[in-house]
Amino acid sequence: MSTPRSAESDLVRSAQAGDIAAFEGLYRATVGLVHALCLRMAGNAALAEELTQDVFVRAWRNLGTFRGESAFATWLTRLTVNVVLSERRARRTREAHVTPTGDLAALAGAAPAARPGTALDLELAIAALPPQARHVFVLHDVEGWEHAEIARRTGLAVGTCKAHLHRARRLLREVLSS
Amino acid sequence: MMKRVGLSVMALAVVVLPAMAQQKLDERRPASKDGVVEVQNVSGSVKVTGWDRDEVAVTGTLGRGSERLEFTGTGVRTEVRVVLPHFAHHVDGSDLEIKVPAGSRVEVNTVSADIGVDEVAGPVRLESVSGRVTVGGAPREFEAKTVSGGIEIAAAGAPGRASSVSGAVALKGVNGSVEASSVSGAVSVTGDAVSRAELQTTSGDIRFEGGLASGGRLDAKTVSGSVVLLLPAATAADFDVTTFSGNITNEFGPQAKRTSEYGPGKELSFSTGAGGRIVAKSFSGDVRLQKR
Amino acid sequence: MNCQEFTLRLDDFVDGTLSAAERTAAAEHRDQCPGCRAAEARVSLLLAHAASLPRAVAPERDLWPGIAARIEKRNVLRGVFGGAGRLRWPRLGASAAAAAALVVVSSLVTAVLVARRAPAPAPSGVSTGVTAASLQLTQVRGTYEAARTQLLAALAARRGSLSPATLKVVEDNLAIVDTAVHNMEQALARDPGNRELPALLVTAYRQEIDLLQRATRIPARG
Repeated sequence: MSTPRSAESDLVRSAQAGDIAAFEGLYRATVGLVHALCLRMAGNAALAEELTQDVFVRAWRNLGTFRGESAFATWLTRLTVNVVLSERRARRTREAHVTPTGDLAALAGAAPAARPGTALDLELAIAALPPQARHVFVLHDVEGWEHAEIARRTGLAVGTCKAHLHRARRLLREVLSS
Repeated sequence: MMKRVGLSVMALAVVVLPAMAQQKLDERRPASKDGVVEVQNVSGSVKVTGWDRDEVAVTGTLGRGSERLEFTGTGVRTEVRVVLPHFAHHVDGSDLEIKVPAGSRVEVNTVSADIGVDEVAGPVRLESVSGRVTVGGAPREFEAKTVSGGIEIAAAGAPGRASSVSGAVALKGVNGSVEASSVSGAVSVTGDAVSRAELQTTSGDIRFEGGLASGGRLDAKTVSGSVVLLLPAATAADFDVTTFSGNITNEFGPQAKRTSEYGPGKELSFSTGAGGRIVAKSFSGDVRLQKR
Repeated sequence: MNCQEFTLRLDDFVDGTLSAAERTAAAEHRDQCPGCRAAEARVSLLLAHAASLPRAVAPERDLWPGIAARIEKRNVLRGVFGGAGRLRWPRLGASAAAAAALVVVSSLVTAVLVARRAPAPAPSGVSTGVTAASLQLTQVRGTYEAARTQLLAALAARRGSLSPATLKVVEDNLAIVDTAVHNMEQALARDPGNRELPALLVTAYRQEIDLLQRATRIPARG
């Protein structure tokens, strides 16, 4: 993010020592990143806010496991994916998947000026994808992850990941070309 | 506010007026030899004793402010329940003394009332929030749960389990298979022929004094509590002892050595002979193996 | 290569993950087939759009106060004055807490079993120090956190019906387990290959879930 790497590692070190103000600094620098990922993966604005909060609470708790081998944002992204996926696993046992349509307006309102029409259409179309196809698409085509990594995090086979990606791209192409 | 006042007035008008004073109890009903006796009392005490008659008898006192004692049953299932009025401000505790056929299955639920069970040979299942649970005699099986109340099973010769949140859990005379756990309370177990004991706490101390039956297994785990195992000098078992940041004291064999490359961590595995298995693990507490 | 074969390989083609030979064959087919050329163009356009989506989207409201409240709660739990502060309970739907707890308890049991049976970690050069037990732990942790959140919510919904003394016992002991979990998580972070910690950690998880389950079932006025 915009925080320079050295300033970031200072903040991380202070936060690891228990400094909440430093952690708030990290939160301010990275919340957009985490929230965007939660929003796209969950396809639901209210849930995305909840998940974003969960991510930072978990991040605070697990800061000790961050050892500076990657950028803080990278570490946080992985944590976010874990939180979203485990929430999803827990949720799947108790309810059918959340229909995103009611929350699409929130996506539209998130940053209207910065969003050209196509980007918004694409966001809405992503939100409407079936959950697993949505996860794989967001991780692969928006976040740039490899199939092997996605497979490891989701517990799906690489072939299954590819099938989900194929389906997602097909559905999105249809939406965008109509 | 209006709604609540209205309801209270209605309640007073409709419901039988609660006992204005303490009321003596003396009631009995026929019951089968090995039926179920279920008891519920919020506060005061419940004392259940087995006898050789085929009836359930309730004596004691019903606390001031209680609505009534519900005492019903079909022979195979008897219920004893202190009913409180819905809108009572203050209710005194009720002290129930209940005699049951010795072979009964006894189930007691209380909030702050202490529970005592003695001379019952059937299985017992006792649950209280802050009351103390005490069991004597030789029940066929026991299960006891509290939040803050202590638990003492004096003759834990049967299989069973006892767990508390902050209360101490003590099992005495164990010679079967038992589980005992508390989050912050101490867990202690004595017995000379333990076939399996699983003891767990988060911060409470664990103490075991006794011996294993042949092929017996003892498993003690705590996060920050200490573990003390007092065992006969002749104990034959495989030992597996670890602590992450505490100390290990051992009177049975070799001294512990550091195992972890990065942090602290001590591990001790040794054998004094084939047969039993003893596992003791603490994260930050000390572990002591002592000869009795 | 025909259209059907090309369509099957389209994703790998645009992702650049085909073997050299397959890639050449696919490119040859595309160059002579207008339909497949259009399909490839549409996927590439989609990928360009996807890659250009904003990486950061600020939430509509400031989420920090909610996070700070939950963190400060944990801090109180962690600090030397642990248990002195009042817990703040998350305001979430409390439905199905019991079901979730069942799920977590059974998966914790599985985890304990697996952790017990886990063989010694292979001496690996991997810096992450992943072992069978720690992998299992990662999976269990998610379930544990989810059940914990739900049970806390369920407890929040009925905390008014509990006596102050009982509530204090519950909160103090939650703090004890939370501190224990926190300390062990930190130790595990420093010593990820430790074989004993996952099992102890799972024991603490289970005690917390048991405690919460018990607390949500305490009768009124208890």
